[in-house]
Amino acid sequence: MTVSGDPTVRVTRADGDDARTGWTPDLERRLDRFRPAVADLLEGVEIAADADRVTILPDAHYPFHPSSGMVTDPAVVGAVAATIRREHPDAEVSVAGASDDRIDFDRTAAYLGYREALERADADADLVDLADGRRSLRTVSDGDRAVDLRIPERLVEGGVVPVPTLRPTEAGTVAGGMRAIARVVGSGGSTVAGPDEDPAAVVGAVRTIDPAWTVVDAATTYGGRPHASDVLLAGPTTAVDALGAVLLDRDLPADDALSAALEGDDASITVSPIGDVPDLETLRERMPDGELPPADDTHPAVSVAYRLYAAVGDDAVPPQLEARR
Amino acid sequence: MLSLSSPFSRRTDSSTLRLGVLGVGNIGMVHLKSARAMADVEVVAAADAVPENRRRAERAGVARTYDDYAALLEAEALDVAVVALPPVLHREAVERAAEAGVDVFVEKPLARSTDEADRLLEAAADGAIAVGVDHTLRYQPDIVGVAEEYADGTVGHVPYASMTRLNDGPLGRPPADSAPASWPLDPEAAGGGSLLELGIHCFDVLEHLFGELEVRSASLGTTLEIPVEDAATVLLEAPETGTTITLHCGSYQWEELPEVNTRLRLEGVTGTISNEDHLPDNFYVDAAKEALRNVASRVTDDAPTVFGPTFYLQAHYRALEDFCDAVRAGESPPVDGEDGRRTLALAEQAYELAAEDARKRDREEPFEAEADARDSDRDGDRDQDEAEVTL
Repeated sequence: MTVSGDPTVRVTRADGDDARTGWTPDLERRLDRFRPAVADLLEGVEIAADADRVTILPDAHYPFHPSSGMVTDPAVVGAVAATIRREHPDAEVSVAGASDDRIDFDRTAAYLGYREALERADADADLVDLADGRRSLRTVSDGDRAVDLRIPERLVEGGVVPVPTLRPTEAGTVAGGMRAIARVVGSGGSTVAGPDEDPAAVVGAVRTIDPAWTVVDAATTYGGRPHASDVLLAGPTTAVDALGAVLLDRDLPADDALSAALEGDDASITVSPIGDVPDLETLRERMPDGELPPADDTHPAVSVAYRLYAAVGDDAVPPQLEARR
Repeated sequence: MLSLSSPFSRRTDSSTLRLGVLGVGNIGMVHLKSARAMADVEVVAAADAVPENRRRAERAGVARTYDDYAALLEAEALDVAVVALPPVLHREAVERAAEAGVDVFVEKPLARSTDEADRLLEAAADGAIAVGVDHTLRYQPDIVGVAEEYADGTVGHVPYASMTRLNDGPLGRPPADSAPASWPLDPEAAGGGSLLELGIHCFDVLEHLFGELEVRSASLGTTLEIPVEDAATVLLEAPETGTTITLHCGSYQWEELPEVNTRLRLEGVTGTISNEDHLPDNFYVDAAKEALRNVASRVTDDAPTVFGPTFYLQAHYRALEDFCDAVRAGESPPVDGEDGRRTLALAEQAYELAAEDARKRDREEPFEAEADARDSDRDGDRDQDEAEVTL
């Protein structure tokens, strides 16, 4: 589905019949909350017209605890997979991530409990490491400039549904569906996503893959601290990301990739609440709008200063305060 | 019970201890740096299987590095070896050191089990080498402050104490831009999870304060689907002082240095002793003061405080320094192999009680009927007005 015309983002509350909202470690209870909410969000949405393969792309980049809001709750992914399975009983439904130089996707998926979540959701979905599969080389243009992309073939051939959580990236932009895609697409020697991302590459990757819809797990968001908002959002990827940026109080023009993706679209999106959902202003006020914690890396200037002090003060330099080489 | 009663003889005659570091990952590098800052200690070699770790050791001034610790022990004439390898290698490394007659300072946990610790201590006894264990927490300035207050009897009888030690373990916290070590999450390599990694430090501190401990009950948990526990809660009794203690440790909480979540509270008859009262009000201000003090010590000829501005690392320095002093004096180390073994025995009791409790709960858990499928009638709920967001 291409974003154009009057993009509408659906918002619903994911509390099921549960009196107690917020994080619960009980997988069944979370699935009970998310199944009906996701079914509502995706009702009538054409996820994969003729595709016999649908790939779900959650934020499963590292085994942070889902209650932190830094990764997608596997129960939300299970609910999305089960909904797609119902609509496409013959399709090959997969949940995908990509191993990187930090950690293998298999290990992350195991620590986050993906197998059990997919099994309990009755989703009949596989886990796929996109780092292992074939890649399709595509060139996208940015004015006079050509940007080469290495896109996992399964994302070009089938339907794709990013399921990110609502959080900022290290660079401070909204993570969202666009960056969930960019994280598994290569360009040059690395992935398209990252602090030094090329906006043209991010937009090119999203437009080439053309994700069906993006479902945002905002049940727990992160913005300097976690917040249990108990809502899910769904809609065209760039529209959902734009709404996510608004909720996290990001400066949209400062997000080059998102601004470029929205260029030419209407300057507004329609928000369609399903059920008893707090209004957007309330959601926005409640959501923390901070950044990721600072990296542990010692700033080179601090390292130099400490070495100087240690030389003068006859002290040792702790390994933690040495700059990485 | 094993004991090392005979005086230890050193391999070299010089007053300077020749020291090698086996394993120069994170904590091994701290020991290496500490040792290099000590008078009368010469760090002659380091070993690590990881090339980048060896390069770090070389950059820190170590003359020779080895990719195999056994090769180091064979090739170098050492007085002391610091064993900072994963726990799975502790026993074998101590056996090799014992064959070479080299005293060892072993990173905690001493071993993965008391059985393994017994074999390790037997080898050490056969080789007549000293075994010290790096139970650092008791050297930490805030814990030292609590111990001093308690020893002074400032709150009278202490019927209850609580201790919490939390960090973010091998998985770290965002942005997590480096690969997590795999061995701490491997029960074969590490022997266990938070209880062996963090709880064991707490057992040592609590026994140091209250004497021999008895484990009454324990509970373990995991917050992610990982192969070892990342949370443990233990109820203890200290018969000697009549103190009931709760201990909680876990590697599930994000840690942002210099803030470290170690809490020790002693509830006494006339008041509370807390380690928080012995922490700097502001770590950065304290660091600046310590740095100035060390710089001034060059003029006043006072000895500098090693790792002065970095509050917690001073404990590592002092623990190793105490061990080296004991070796030099031919005395038993202040925190020796028996201390390390006792903490392991407490951890094992906790594991056993937790497992027993889990089995009991499994037996007693009533059959839960399948909950009725929740049929939240959400149709027709789209009755709110649509809203438009201007970007």
